[in-house]
Amino acid sequence: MVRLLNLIIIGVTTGSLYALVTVGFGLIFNATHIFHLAHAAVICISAYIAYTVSVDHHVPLLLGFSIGLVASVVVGIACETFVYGPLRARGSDPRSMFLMSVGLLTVAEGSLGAIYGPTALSFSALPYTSVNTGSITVPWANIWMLAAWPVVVVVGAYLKWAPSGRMIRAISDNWRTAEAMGVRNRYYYKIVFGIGSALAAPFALLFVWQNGLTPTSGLPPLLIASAAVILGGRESLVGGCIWALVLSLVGSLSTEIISPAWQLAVIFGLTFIVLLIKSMMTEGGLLTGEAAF
Amino acid sequence: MNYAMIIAIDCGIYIVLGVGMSIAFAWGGFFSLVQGAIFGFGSYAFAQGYLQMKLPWFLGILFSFVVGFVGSGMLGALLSRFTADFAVISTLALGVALETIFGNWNSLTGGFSGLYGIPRPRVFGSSTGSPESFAIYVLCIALLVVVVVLFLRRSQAVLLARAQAMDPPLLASLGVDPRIFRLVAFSVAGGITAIGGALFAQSAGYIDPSSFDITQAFSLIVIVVVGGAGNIYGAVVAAIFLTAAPQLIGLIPGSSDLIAQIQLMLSGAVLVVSIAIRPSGLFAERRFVRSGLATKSDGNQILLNGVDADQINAH
Repeated sequence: MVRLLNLIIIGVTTGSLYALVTVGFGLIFNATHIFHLAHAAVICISAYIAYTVSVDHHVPLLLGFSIGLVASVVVGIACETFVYGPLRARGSDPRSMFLMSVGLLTVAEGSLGAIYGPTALSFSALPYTSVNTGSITVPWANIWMLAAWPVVVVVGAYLKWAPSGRMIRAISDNWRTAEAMGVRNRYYYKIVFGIGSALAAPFALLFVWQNGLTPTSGLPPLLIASAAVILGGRESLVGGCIWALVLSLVGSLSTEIISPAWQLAVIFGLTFIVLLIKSMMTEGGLLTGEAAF
Repeated sequence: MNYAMIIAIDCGIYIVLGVGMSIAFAWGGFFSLVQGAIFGFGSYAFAQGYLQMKLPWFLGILFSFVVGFVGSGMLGALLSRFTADFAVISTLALGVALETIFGNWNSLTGGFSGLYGIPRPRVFGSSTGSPESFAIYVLCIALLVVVVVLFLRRSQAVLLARAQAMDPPLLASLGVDPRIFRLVAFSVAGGITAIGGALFAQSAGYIDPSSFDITQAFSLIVIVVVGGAGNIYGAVVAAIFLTAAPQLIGLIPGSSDLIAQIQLMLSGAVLVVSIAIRPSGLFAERRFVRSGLATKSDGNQILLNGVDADQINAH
């Protein structure tokens, strides 16, 4: 029972972290309809810059994190300004956008691997200890992951009440109508990339605290986040957060029921099955023979 | 000289993989991100075929093709049920799940320790242990695959498969069910990819799950995008360039340890530039003629609609 409770706590805390990246990715995906796989690269770039500043140059971790956050925002907005924006202006289809994001991710992973090497890095300033309350043991990293929720709430409040947040929701619902009503879509696309990429920075720090940093660290959690976004419904960030929690809990419990080594297979296997069921319940789809993507 | 042969071997393997990925998209009709896993199917099938069943090389390759064909068929049947919104994430999820299974199914794949002791074959009594002889072996198989695919490309079944990939409603309106063609085309593509896996297993002598992850699928996507989907010649040229270039750059002093990273950077950069400049690929396949007039050899004009430009030129 104690073991089960421990696993649930780990699952919920890790799910909180995934909810953070789900909100960031979901914001970008819902507004721009781009499957921005390069968001994994933004996560890694933020973490590596924070590492370089705080560990290699012995700068306080908070300052290193802040510089990493600025870097992630710059990279995110640059992706929209110099890459996706011109493609969109040319009328490129979603597949081309996705392939472009694959290219960006591949370049970033190769570059980071060449600069930093494949060895996992860690932040020496972060405590790798745990909190013990009786028989429950929770790492400090997991406790700090709960700090993701205030950030998620702030983003949700921004989207609901801020004028620019409502514009972003309007674009997510129907960008053509929004554009016809005079909304400057291109400006708000940069905003969503900025906010989404900014959310990558705290996620990166908390994720690396628990798992270490390698050039490919960003891809597995991004895939979980993208699964949560798709499963939760494209317009519902709340749904995405719930699915992030569900997938994380399932993964955590599977370490006990099956084996820790099968965790990713369980998470993505569940994702595949749920998507299959949702697709089969939806009218149309590939039974008509249309190419999916 | 040995280094040149190693490059030639890698080029041969990626020619086969690139052709498989290209026809998976052009004939099967959808971008599959599980080709890395199917590559793994072929490698593990060949390895176990030798280690457990002592199959000779040609039966091992055939076994790999069958495993790839059946595995792709099953995956294709599942993937064809997804709507467009779910297609990308479903193939990504499946690719990651299969990668994890490769790493943990110890009895079949050896887990993360992998399988080793896969020998190079003896062909007609001659050993292919030397780099030169093995390069000839790999390139001969790659050539055979390319020739067979070029031959199949003109068959009615493949023309129908290509038609449904380009315009499924038109084909359906003619009373042709496109689903079976998509599935068979995707299965054939998977079988070809699995042959590439078999060659890889023989080349390395050792296989582990790290060779069959999602980034392998990304590398194959680059070959398709650069070469042009469905263009076999384009796939060959793109595979040779993207395989040989990083190896040649690795000859620069100080960069030999960074070949893998250079390959990633080069692949990504080529993909970015290709999408930005020529999204249809450097060697884009000629499209069907949608409508218009053409003059037949007897001087009469005909109204065209959905006819292959090659077929017009042949008359």
